[in-house]
Amino acid sequence: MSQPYNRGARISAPGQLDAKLQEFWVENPWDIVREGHNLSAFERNRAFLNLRGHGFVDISFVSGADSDGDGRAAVAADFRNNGQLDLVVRQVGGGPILLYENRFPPRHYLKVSLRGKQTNRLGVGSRITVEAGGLSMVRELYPINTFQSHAACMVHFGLADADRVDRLTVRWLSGKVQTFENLPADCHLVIDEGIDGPAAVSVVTPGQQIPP
Amino acid sequence: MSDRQVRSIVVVSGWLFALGAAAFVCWALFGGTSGSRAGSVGRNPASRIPELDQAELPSAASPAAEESAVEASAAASKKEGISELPESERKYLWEVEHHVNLLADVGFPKVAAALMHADRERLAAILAEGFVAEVPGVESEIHIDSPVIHVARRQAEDGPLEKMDADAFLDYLMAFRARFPKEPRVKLSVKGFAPTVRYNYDSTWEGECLLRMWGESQPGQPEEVSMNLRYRLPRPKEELFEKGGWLTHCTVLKAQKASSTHFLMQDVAAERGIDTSLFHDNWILQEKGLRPQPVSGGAHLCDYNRDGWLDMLVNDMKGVVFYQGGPGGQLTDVTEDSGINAVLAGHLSLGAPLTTITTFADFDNDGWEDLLLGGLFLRNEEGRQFADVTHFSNFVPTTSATNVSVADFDRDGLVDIYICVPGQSKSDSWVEGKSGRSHGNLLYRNLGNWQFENVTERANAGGGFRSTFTAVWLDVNDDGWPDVHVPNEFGNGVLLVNRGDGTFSEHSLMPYPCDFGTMGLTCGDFDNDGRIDIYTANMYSKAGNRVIGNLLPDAYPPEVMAVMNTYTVGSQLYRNLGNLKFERLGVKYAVNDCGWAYGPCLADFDNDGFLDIFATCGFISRDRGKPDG
Repeated sequence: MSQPYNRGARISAPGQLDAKLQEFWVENPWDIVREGHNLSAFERNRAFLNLRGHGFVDISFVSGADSDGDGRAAVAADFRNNGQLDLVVRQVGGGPILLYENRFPPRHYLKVSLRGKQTNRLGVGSRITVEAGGLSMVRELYPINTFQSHAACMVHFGLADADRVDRLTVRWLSGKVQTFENLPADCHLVIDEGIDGPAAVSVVTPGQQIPP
Repeated sequence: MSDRQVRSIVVVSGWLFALGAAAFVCWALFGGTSGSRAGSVGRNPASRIPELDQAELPSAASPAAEESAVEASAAASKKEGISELPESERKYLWEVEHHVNLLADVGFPKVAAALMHADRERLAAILAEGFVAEVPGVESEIHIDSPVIHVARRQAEDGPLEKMDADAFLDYLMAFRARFPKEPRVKLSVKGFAPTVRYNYDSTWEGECLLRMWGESQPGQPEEVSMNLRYRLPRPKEELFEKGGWLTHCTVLKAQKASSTHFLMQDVAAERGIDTSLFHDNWILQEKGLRPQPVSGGAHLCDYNRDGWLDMLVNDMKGVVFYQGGPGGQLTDVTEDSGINAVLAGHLSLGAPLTTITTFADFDNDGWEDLLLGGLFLRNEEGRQFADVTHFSNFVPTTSATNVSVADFDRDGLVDIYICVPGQSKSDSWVEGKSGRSHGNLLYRNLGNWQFENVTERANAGGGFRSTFTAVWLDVNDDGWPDVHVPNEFGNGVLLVNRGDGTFSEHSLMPYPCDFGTMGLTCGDFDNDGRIDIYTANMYSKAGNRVIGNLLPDAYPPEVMAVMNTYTVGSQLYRNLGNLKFERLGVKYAVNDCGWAYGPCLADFDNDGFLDIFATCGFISRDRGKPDG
């Protein structure tokens, strides 16, 4: 702190250390780990539940996913195709990979993949809006890479109690806009930029190949 | 952080400690000794602040111009007398932190033990004669649309405080304790702490802390109580804590109880088919006396065979494993069958692959996700195998990349590559916000046929010599063109807004210092208002906040203090207000205090239509018995 202009500064201790309290001093922060000390150690990974857009509530402990390992990245994915987002957590220490099964109570959902024509084939950069149960949700299709880890190239919507989708709009990266009404929930849809009308929507059956 | 706080680094360089360590990550990752200018100083901050007031920042100057600017401003800052903290101030911070350690190591453990054992008498013995408490009177039920989770919260800000004497306060605390039939775990963490009269250690001390109790109310039923407290006591001394009767005041700023009928997430890695012993783990290697690594690898999702079951590639210092997904989410190791092993074997001369630049993307636009793996291109042969096409490509990855992300920035129908590059020097200034002056991020335009053109300069996509660990693409202004937010390990990131003509303009999320120590980030519309918001994973440190909080407000010039005040605040949520304006909500929504945060995740875990946050954190944990900053 006494040298805000110099990351390389070495600063000697300005007083005595209390050995009983295990106080220690490292002259340059770069040496902390090198000298064998903890550095932001045993911090719990955290889970915050969204309060309908008006803040969050910390449910880290009740989630059971608050590992105090040294976490590096988290990616959500519906591995089971049941609409529940499981969570993959990568850590450099304390368990290198954790795969958390989602045990929240099931609710309605929709998954969407794209098949671009003028847009790139997987629809990266397109924007999907779903209206269901009085809620309008905008999601963009990017395999977001948060830190050396990325999500799947698809979009997931939680639909709460809505068992139908009132309206789904795709704004393709090409600029083309397609709107579909009254679609089923609780499934995985593929939408085709090259087909007009309701025929652009098809339902994926896991295990059957999705035509590219 | 451990219960024991350390004077260590904390005292004179609490934040320096925190940041230093941020820099340490790329330092250790990329071989260390590339520091360019020993003993260098940063640019004069006074010359930098005005540009922060403009939404649009000028692009980075040429390295040569910047070099001379650095030297000129170094001289200028010396002239202005901005230098070390006076010895007396350093000693004050040192002393205060020592008292923090006494409280954290001797005083608070007595409170924790009494609460754990539900020992009302022992708790009463800690309270001073004439003890006064204040607690929030209004309980606001937090509405969570779930039959299994229950959360209730009382906050001082929601209504008037209710005064209590010692007896009433003990009842109040014991009522929270009574939620746990068996002994919960109890922990108190010191947030702020200082004597009420500066430099007078014998005056009354005041501080804040977080009290947590957690455990299972019934087997398998998690229950957690967390309380933010403000407290007063005389000067901390061991004898005082032994004698008792030392806590004179306590104000409950926030009290929250959370419970669930069951743990909502459960680790099933082994059951799903993942052999975790294949991957690097510092905690296991530490037992053998090996030095910890800052980063070991990631996880990348795709559906490479388009069968509707998600697949996952785990890259790691120990090697690469590719899992094919199947019914029930079962994962099968297909690294060999998919051809990935063979491709890697063909490049053994490269040594271990530089797996920091790994991503699935459909580079050849045939609908099958290809794999960029440490600079090698693997073409997806219609879900059957990956074939090595590296030699067809002109793409030469930089050796110092931290990450890669993809987007079709020019909307030509082919996904392009954005490579993130960390800072190269540890000798730069902390407050200057930039790191290294010879490397920026790189944008490669996909020309098709595995040919890529480096368009960084033409597109103005370098991100201004920030030290960057990742970047996320989003349409931040809803104009149909992909934009990208580039975070910074050492200060504000930069929002690169796509002009639609193949170039980007640089914007600041806020017109003042707002982020520091950003190791990861993500984005998504958390409030469903149709605009994509940004969540940055920054460094949070209780110790750092105490030390910075205990500086004199004018310890450094205002523009330097403004930067320093961001250092250990932690993660930030930027609500997108439209027109490239944002509201910073990390502290307000209490999603900031994670710790040394890395790649976070915004996802709707409870399927209620609103994106939740999962945050990873913790840097290097070595010994639970030892202190930490």
